[in-house]
Amino acid sequence: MKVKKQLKLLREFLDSDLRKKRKQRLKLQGLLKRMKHKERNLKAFLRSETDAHRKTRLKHEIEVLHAQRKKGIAALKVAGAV
Amino acid sequence: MLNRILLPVIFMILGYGFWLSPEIKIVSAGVAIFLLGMLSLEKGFSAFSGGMLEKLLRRATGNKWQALGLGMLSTTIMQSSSLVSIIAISFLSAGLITLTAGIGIVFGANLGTTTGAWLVAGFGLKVNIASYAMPMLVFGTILLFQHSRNLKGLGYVLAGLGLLFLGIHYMKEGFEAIKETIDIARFAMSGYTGVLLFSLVGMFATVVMQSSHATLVLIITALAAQQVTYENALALAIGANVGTTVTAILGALGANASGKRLAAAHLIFNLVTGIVSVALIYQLVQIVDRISQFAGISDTNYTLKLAVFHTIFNLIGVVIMLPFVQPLVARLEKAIPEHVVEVDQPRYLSSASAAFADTAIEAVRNETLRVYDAGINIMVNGLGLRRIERGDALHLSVTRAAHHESGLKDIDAMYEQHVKTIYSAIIAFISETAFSRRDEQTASLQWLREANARIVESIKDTKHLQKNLRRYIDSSNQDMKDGYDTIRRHIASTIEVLNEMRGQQDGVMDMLGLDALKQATEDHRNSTTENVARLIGLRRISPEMGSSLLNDSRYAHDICMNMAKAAQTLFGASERELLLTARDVTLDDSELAELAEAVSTKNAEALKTFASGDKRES
Repeated sequence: MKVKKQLKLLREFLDSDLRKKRKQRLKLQGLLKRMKHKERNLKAFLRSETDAHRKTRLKHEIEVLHAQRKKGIAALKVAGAV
Repeated sequence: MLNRILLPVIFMILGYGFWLSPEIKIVSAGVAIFLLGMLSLEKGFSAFSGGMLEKLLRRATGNKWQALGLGMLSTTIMQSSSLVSIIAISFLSAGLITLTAGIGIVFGANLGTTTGAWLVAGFGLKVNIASYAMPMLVFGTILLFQHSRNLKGLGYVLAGLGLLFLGIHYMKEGFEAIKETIDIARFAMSGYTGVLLFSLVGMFATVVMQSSHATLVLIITALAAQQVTYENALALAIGANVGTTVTAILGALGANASGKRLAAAHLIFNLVTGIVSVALIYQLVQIVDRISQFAGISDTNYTLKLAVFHTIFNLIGVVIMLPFVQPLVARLEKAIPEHVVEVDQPRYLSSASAAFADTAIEAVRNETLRVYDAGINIMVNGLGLRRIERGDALHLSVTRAAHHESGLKDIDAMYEQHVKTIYSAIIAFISETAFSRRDEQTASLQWLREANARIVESIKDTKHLQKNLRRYIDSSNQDMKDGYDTIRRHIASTIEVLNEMRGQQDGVMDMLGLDALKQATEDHRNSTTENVARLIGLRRISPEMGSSLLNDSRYAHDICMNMAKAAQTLFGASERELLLTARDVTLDDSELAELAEAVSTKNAEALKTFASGDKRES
């Protein structure tokens, strides 16, 4: 197992394309975390918001952010399969 | 001001004249019909512009002799020096011909008008001109009802000629009849006092009728009926020639520097010709007599002699002025300087910034932000939005800008001044640098190029939107007014949100947040479509109004979408690498549409559940 992991690291070290993809995947993961955090914040704002117009705007924002996250998770799955 | 006083005075004088004598009515109607004919003729020839006429005039750029010949020929054919002068001014303003060529055309046009005098004196008075007018009017009017542009143009020309002939006929008849009742000839004056006074009368008549040709025909017909002496008729013709420049000057007031220069050259030419002719009038009369004798014109044929005089004094003007065309051009260019509009120049694009990929991208981004700001500014001013200062945030309100002092600003002018040069420089800069970069950097530059194109697209859409907005901003139909206010309010709120996001500098999250704005734009368009259908159904707006509103809501949708997409590229530069990743999660147009659909279905279901719950409770 140890050898296998080391071989994988060596392959990544030698393959710049693979390295790049891994880096991108990590970035996407980080971004999705931030998005999740923002979605939670927005939901908290929505609960405390009383203005109807702002409430609708927040709802929209949450829906869009949710759809974006779903797209991001799908992209992450594809990137992980490579 | 002048018009406010002049018009009632003319109306009163004419009214008094009509009451005094029915013959004056006939002469005045003749002048009116003649002028109507001139208008119809001009309209007819304008229909042919965009083709032959332009090609012909464009060739006049060769030298002043060509220009002179062309001005003369075109005025002879069209019998309207003002149409030729207007076309020359528009060509000059568009930079298609030089001022020298323009002056040549105007000088030629002056010579060309002399053919009108020859035609009326030699042909119009000798034959029953009205018999030619009738078929022309009939055929012309039939052609006016045709769909083809050329046939319609021909119709206007024929009807115009018919009206000109009919006008001449009525003037001739009127003066013949006046001769029987009133003797206007008793007001004749001899000597230089008479020459000066009648020159002024001729000038005034031309200013009022806005056509020296009409004045000349009036003079010739009055002379034929012996209602005016030969000497006074010559003075009237000189005055008419000077008076025609007033029309050109009035027309050039709204033109650019080139147009004003040409109008000034026109005035100088006609003034010099007029002064020389007045000073040498008695010598000219002798020359006319000799030429007439040589040409076999009888000594008492004053109308033809007037045509000879008219030709000679215009020819003298050309002979005197032609050698001075170049100095005149130089003087005019100095005296009427070009008003140079300060155009915004690029600030960050330089060969130094192009040296490294990162600096090149940053320079293009900063320059694109300037284009973005200018674009927002154009939208605010072009759509009648007013900035309200309230803290740091931007607030916009909808104004009735049509009545506002500043009005809806000219979008083309603002684009030329603030965007075009920078945009062109950005495109050139990207084209020169993009190919030598790594893939990611090339992609960044391509996105920036796309962002620029989107901003420019938004400006063009704003221009389209402004067209109908001018029409409906103060419409008597409240629904149309409200519809356009809603469109403007939506654009205003989009600009506010964009501004807010830019201020927060939350980088990548801002960029993602713009998708919500794009979705709100989709929703707005859908609700506008539903609202328009409802209003048409209720007959509160006509289908034509509805289609305007739908088209313009589409423009508004595209404006907001494009600006949001441009902002997505521009904002959050501090996290450029992450921005590339974020592009993988932003929603495209079809995904946004899907989401909008899903949300509206969900809302409809919620409404249904709510309604059924209400029923159960009741």
